[in-house]
Amino acid sequence: MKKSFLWAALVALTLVSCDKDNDDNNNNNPPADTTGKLILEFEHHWDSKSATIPQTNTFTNNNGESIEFTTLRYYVSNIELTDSEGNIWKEEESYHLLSLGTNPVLEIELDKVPTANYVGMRYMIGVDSLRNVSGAQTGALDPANTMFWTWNSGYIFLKAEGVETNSQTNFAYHIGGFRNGNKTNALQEISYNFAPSQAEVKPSATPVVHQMVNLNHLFDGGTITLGVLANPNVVMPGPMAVNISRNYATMFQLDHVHN
Amino acid sequence: MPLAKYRAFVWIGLLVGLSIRCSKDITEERNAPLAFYQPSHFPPAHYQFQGNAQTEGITEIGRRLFFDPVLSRDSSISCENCHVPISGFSDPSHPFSHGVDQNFGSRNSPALSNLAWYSSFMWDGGVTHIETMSTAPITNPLEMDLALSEAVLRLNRSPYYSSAFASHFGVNEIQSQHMLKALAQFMASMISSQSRYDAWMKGNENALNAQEKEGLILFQTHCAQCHAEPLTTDFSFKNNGLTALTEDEGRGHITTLAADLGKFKVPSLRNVEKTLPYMHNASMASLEEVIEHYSSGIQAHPNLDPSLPVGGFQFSNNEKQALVAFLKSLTDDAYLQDKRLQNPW
Repeated sequence: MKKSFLWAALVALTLVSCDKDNDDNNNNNPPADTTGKLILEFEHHWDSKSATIPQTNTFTNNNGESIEFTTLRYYVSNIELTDSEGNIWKEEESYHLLSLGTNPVLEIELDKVPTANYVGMRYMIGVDSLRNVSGAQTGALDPANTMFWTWNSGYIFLKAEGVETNSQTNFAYHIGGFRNGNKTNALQEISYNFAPSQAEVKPSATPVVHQMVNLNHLFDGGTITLGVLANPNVVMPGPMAVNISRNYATMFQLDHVHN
Repeated sequence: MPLAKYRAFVWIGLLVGLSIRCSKDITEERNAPLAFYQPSHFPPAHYQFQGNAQTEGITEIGRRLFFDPVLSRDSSISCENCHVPISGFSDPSHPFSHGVDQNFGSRNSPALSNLAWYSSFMWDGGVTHIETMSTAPITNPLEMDLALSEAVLRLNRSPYYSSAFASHFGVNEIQSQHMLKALAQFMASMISSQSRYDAWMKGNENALNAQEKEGLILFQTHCAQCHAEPLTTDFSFKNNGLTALTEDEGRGHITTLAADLGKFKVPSLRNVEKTLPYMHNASMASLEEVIEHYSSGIQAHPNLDPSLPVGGFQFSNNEKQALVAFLKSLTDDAYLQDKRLQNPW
């Protein structure tokens, strides 16, 4: 008796959520037969080694420090796709929090993408300044996700924590900041041109944009060479955070698009 | 009935009628559900409840949260511990904010009123929105020391909160957003606008006595550049020469700018008689000490506000007394004693 009641409740809930989807379609989105999906894959590695948490490989940075990650989380936001005719599609409420675990590959599935051949994309690592100051948020931006500075309102764009194992020095890089123009603005934009490939989105096919994310670039990405012993903690906005954000912007590389 | 007697009767009747009218106005206001309102002599509020339409039920949840120790790690303290209603929602018994495990923060608990007019919060303005304000003291290890995820877990386990949030937000699962929005509705309803100074502003010439009016003129001449009327703050960040050296980075810690080192939010002076101790570092215990600082104690900090003379304004004794008298006219008993702003548990 109780069980059947639960089932009835579940079915009712499902129906309710279906209804909501339909409403959304009617109000905002093109019908399903003119849209499809696109998947973004983020494959984490350190040079030639696969990266997971807990870590199974040893990583050595360009300072000769042995790096073991315990946390790697970051925001991917404001995703835009450009099709072959120059039209730009923007994902609504485009905020995703990626958190590295036992699978080196993390995914974002874009839904209700209009049918088209897409030739490029861009997104931000971080959270745009407007959303940083817009009050209590939910979902990926829920401050309970601990990616929010409560004493200096704003989102942590990327959080990397771990230990330098030779010296047993803990490190914490909480990178963010959106104020004062370039001085503390750590928002980074990533953009790709898919050429010669295209991502062909249609109701019957879901293309995948596969990216490689090289964590070594967090420490040495062309802007600074970051050492754990010299700088074990960077946990507030400022010029150092901006430099690290420029480093990690180069972690993201387009590998291939497959249809 | 002789005419004279009749006249007296009419006068008594009129007086009784008037006093009933007056007390009726006040009674009505205080019996009405607690809600934000826009006093006619205030500028428009900054917070307009975008995406957080105010209701009586949500405001009441916010009040319960404000006074509920469940939001501290060991359930020992609530917001009220550092924001005592009768003390203008400040903490008269500790110089610095007082947290779990007998921890102390590093700055004086600010008095709270008219929060809907603020675009930034805390002495350093680090918090930029009334809805995210509460996350700071709740999670600060020196204050309530509770992870937001744990706060939300506790609320979801509570029969009162789970049913209250379900009926007023229409959600089965409480998220931090709901908690923060409810707290914001309560905090935005904490409006102090009925002091004698307010009565004077609204045209009642007799609301202030001669000494207080003299103090008001001094205040307007020397203080109101920053303590702008009628809210008695312009919400800016200033150094007021408490020390010659920077002992606390203040605003500079947020902006990382040298020009902001040692600057702090200009505090509102509403209910200032009740909100001792004074200054961000709680270094002064009385209004007389505060006035003495501006009269003779202003230090040459590199970021000292240009409107303040090094050494002070050199007020006469009469001027000092008049300034203190004026500051006391900012006491708003209707606010301090408003039952709707007090502990409901």
